[in-house]
Amino acid sequence: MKKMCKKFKKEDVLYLGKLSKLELSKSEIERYAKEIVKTLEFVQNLMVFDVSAVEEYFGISDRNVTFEDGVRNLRALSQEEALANTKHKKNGFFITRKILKE
Amino acid sequence: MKGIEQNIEKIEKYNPILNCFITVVKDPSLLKFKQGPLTGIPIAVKDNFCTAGIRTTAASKVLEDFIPPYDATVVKRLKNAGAVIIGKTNMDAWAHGSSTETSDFGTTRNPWDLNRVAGGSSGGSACAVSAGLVPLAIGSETAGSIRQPASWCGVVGLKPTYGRVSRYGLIAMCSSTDSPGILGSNITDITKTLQIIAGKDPFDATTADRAVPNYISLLGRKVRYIIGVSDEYLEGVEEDVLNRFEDVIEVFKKLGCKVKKIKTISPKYAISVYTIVQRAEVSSNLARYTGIRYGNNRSLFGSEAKKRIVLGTYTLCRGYYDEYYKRAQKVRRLLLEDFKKVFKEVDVILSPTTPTTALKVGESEKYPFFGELMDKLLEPSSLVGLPGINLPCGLDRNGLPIGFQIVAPWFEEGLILNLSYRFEKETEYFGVIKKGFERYR
Repeated sequence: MKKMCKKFKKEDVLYLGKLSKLELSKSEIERYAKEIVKTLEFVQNLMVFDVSAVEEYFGISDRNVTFEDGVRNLRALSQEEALANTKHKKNGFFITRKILKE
Repeated sequence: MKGIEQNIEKIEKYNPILNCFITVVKDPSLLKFKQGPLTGIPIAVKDNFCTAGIRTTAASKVLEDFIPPYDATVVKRLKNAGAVIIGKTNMDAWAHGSSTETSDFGTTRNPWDLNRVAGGSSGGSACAVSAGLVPLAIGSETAGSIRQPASWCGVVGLKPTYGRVSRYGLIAMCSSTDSPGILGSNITDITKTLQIIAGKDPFDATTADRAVPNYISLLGRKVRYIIGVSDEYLEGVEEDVLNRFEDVIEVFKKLGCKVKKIKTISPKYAISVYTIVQRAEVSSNLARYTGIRYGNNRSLFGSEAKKRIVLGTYTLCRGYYDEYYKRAQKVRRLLLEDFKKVFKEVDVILSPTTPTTALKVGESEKYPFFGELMDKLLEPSSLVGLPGINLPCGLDRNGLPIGFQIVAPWFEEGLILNLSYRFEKETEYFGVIKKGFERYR
């Protein structure tokens, strides 16, 4: 784990920024790289635990929770409500960037 | 209605110096209220709860002009009970932080010392209650965000069990720990409000399908509880805070409780678990802000949010997932087992809420993960979904409020409220809450 932290570089921030669709400035990239290394070093204290026989715990309920049938429709917005906050709409549709080339 | 006007006047008088509200509701049609157990009570709501027709920003420029078309379940239930949503309170942007300094709408000031922060992320809610601008405020806690600002502002702050109160309409930050809660000046108000907002909600599948007790009927019962105190929670805590905590223990002994030393996993490990889990969930939850359906595009994310997204994305990447995320979730189970074991021996756990009292504005920059350190005594219980409350218990040498917390087993809010109620009757919080009000008349 320690080796991994040392390896964390500016290029990693750039790549992760791209993955998460964030445009980062040069100074942000430099600062994040430094701060993230510090954080990754800090969380190494978890290495003291032997977790080989431990299962992950994802939150309060160990079971999967699902919506009751029909609930999603009850909380669905009307078309008008759904479009109320967008800056990009036309004829009752959202406008998005083209993702397919002709 | 007159009462509400007075509250709005007071908010307008003091908000310019305290900066605890991002939006104050003035439209008379939004200030109408129904008849119910909270008829005409003005309530401030943290700005990460959706409020129909009232701007909801999560203190980020990404949502600076977002007007939700629907109410969060918490808001809906409060309105149905007669409450009036009087305004939306300042917070750390997306609730990332413990001082409101990451808000895109400026820092909330601590009503006890304007050069200091109110804490966070529900800093605006804690500040508004402390200065007497509203009797009650709604906050949310992911790992300390209610109890920590309540402690630093000298008010009562309840974080219920995860799943006791619906998250529907609460802007998601760390979905596996986000818990709506209540800030106020006395246990009776908090109890009445919890009664209204608690319970199963079909719109949030993670809410617990179990009956909500009649909390009011549980107040004042003279039960001789066994209180657990762990030395691990006293490490690195300031002297003044420790001294007041010792006095608190004496109060509970006087009330007939038995105090027992317990051994727990050090909270320093919870800091690491939380740091990894929170960043991972943030990177996923903030992916929805594309500027297509609502709000602005991703270029308006503040620096803290971007850093958390980057780190969270990293810990979830192939090759690093096992090292970080998976290991953190495994240690999270160890924390769970640790609490289960402790609660076989004791009824509740008591500890200071925060290691220090309120810091000065700007001081947080000295700490690489300031929030995590300030919330370290709150993170273990948050990570496993336990309920907890902050109660004020005195002032430090600088005249700043000190708080302590009571943590109980899952869904034992009634136990917490009863014990808190008895502490309130016995001590009146050593005059802290009353003194807070006196400054802002």
